[in-house]
Amino acid sequence: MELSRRDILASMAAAGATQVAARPSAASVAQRAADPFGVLVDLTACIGCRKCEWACNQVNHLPAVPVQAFEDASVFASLRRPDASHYTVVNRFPGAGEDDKPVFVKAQCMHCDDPACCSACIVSALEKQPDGAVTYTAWRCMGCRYCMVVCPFQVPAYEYFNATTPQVRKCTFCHERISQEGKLPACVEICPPQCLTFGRRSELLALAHRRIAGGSGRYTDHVYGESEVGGTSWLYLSGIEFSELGFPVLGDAAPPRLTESLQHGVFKDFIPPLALFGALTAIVRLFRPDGEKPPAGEGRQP
Amino acid sequence: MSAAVPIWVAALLASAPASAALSTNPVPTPAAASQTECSRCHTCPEPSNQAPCLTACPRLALSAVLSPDLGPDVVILDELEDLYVPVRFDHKKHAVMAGMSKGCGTCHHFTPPNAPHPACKNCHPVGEPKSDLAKPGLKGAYHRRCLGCHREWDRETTCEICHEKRKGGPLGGTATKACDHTHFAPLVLKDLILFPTSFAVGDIVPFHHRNHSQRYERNCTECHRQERCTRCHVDNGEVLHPMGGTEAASLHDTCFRCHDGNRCKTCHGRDPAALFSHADTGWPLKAYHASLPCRSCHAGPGAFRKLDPRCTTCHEKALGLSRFDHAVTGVALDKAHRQLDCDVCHTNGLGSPPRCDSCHDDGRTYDRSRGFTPAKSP
Repeated sequence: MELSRRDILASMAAAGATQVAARPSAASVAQRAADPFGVLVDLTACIGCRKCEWACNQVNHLPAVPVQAFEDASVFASLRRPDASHYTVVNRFPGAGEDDKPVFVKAQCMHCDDPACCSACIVSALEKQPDGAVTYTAWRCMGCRYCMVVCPFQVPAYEYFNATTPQVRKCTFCHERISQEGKLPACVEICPPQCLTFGRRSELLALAHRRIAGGSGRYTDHVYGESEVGGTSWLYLSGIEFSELGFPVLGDAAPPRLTESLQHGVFKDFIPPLALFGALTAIVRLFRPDGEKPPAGEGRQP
Repeated sequence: MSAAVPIWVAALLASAPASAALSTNPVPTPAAASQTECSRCHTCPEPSNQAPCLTACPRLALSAVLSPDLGPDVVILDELEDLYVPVRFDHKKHAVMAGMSKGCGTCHHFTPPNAPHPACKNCHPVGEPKSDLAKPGLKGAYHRRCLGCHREWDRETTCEICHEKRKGGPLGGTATKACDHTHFAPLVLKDLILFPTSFAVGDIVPFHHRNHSQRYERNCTECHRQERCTRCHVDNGEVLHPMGGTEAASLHDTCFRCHDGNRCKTCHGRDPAALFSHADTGWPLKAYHASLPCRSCHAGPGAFRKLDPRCTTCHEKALGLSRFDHAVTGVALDKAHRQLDCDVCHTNGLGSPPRCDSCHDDGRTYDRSRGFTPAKSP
C-alpha cells in the first residue's frame, strides 16, 4: 500500500485528536481534587533559619551539601531562586519601617490549582494530583522545557549539568509523604516557629482570613495564592505588601483557561477546520477557470 | 536601678514541670478578676463543670501578675530535644525583664483565675498532627514566644542563641551539656553623657544618666522604647548609646516626653557640673523634704509636674491631715496642741513656723530634746 503525503498527515491528525480526547485535561483533575491539601505560610513568623531548605535537601536526596551551608546567613545577600539542587529557598527582604525587622520569604513550587506547567506539558509528565501536589514523571518527560517557560513563578528548573538523563526538578510537595505515608511535608515538619501550616486548602483559607480579621494588625488583607492564577495550594500571609517581597503580581485567571480555550477552540467539534477547509475549497473553485479539469493521472509519471 | 523594676513582675514560659511550678496559689489582680467577662472564655451563657463550653483559646483574656520570685529560677526545656540538646531557660532573668514592659502577659498569654500559670504543653501538643490548625504545636509555641521578643530586641534569630547542637547529631554538634553562659555583660550606667549638637548657642547637651534613672527614678523603658538589648549590652562590655543615634529629632522626642516646657538653653550649653537643684524651682527642699523620693510628692506617671507650693497640697489633700506626723517637722505636738487646727498656730501659712509667744505670753519655749517646756516660773 502506498501512502501519499496527504494520507500520512491525515492519519497523524486523527491520532493526535484521539490522544487529546483520551487525556483528562489539567482542569478536570483539579476539579476532581475537591479539597486538596495546602500549606499556609505565615511570613510574619519566619525567622530565616533555613531549616526547611535543609529538611528538603535530606528528604529529596538532593546533592549533598554540608549542613553548615544551611546555617550561613550570607546567602541572603543576593536573591535566590529554586533550582535543580534546591527545591526551596528562603530569601530576605527589608521590613516596612527603616528599623523594622527583615521579612524572610520561603519560595518553592506553589502547586497551582490549575497549573500552567501541566497544561503546557504535551506528554503529561507534569500532573496535578488529587492531594494538591503537582508531580513530575521523569520517564515521560522529553525535555521540551515548556513548563519552565509557562510557570508564572519561574519554579521548574532543569538539570543542565546532567548531559545524558536531565530532568525537570521542582518541589514535589512531598507527594508520597502526604498521600501515602500520612506525614507532613519535610519543610512543614521541621519549621521551628511553625510558620508553615499544613492542612486542607479550604481550612487554611478560613484560618488565614480569621487571622487577618483577628484584629492583631499583623497582616495585610491579602492571602497570596487564594485567587492568583486561579488559586494555588501554597498560600501566604504577610505583614507588608506582597509586591515588596518579590511575589509577582498576577491576575485571578489561570493561564491555561486562556491558552487552552484558544488552542482547543481551533478544533472545537472539528467545526473550525471543516469551515476553514470548506472556505478554502470554495475559494479555489471560485477562481478556477471554467472547463479546466485536473489532468488525469495527476501525481503519476507515465 | 532596682527601683526601676516594678515589684509586680511575672514569669515567662510556663514550661516548668509541675515540681517547679509555683508553690503558692497566685492571686489574679483585682482588675483581671473584675474586668473579665464570662464570654471571654465561655461560649454559652450558663457554663457548668460538665459543659464548660470553653472557647478554643481565650488569648490574652486573663493574665495574672505575679512576682518573679514565685516562679522557677531556671527551666530546662527538654520535651522536644532532637537536633539540639535541651534548652536551659533562665526564667527569673526573663521574668524581671518582662516586668519592665508588659509583665507576665508578655509570655503567659492565658492564665485562668486562681491557678498557676499553665505550662505551654497543657494547650500546645507536643506532637503532630494538629487537630486545630489555628493553634501552634509546642515547638511553634516555644519558638514564637521566645523569638517574638528576641527578633524585636536583639535582632538575633540564629538557633545557637538558645540551642546547642547535640554531640554527633545530624547538625554535627560537639556540645554535651546545656548552655549556661551569660551572653551579655552587666549593664553599667554612665554618670554623665555629653551629647554634641549643632546648636549655635550651646553645642553640648550634658545628660546625667545615673541621676535620671536613680535619683529621678525613671524606668528604663520610659526613654528606651522599642530598644534592642544589644544596644546597651554588648559582649565586650562596651556600652553603646542606645537612643537610636544622635539625630536631633529622636533625642528631642525622647527628652520632650518630660521636658516639654523647657527652653533650648535649659539643656543646650548647660554647665555639666550644674546639677538640678530643687531651689531653682522656687521651692528649696529643707529638712524632711530633702530626704524624700521625688515620687512622694510628684505622684502619678510620667513627668514630674509643678505642684501648688502650699503645704496643704500634700498634707491635706494627698496625705490627709490626720495622717500628717507633725514630728517630721522637728516639732512633736503634744496632746493639747494636736487638738488645735493648723491655722490657730500657723497664722502666716503652714510654711512659716509659729512662735510660742504668739499664743503664750508666759515665756515658754520648745526644745527638740525635751519637747514643750512648761511655763517658766515667774
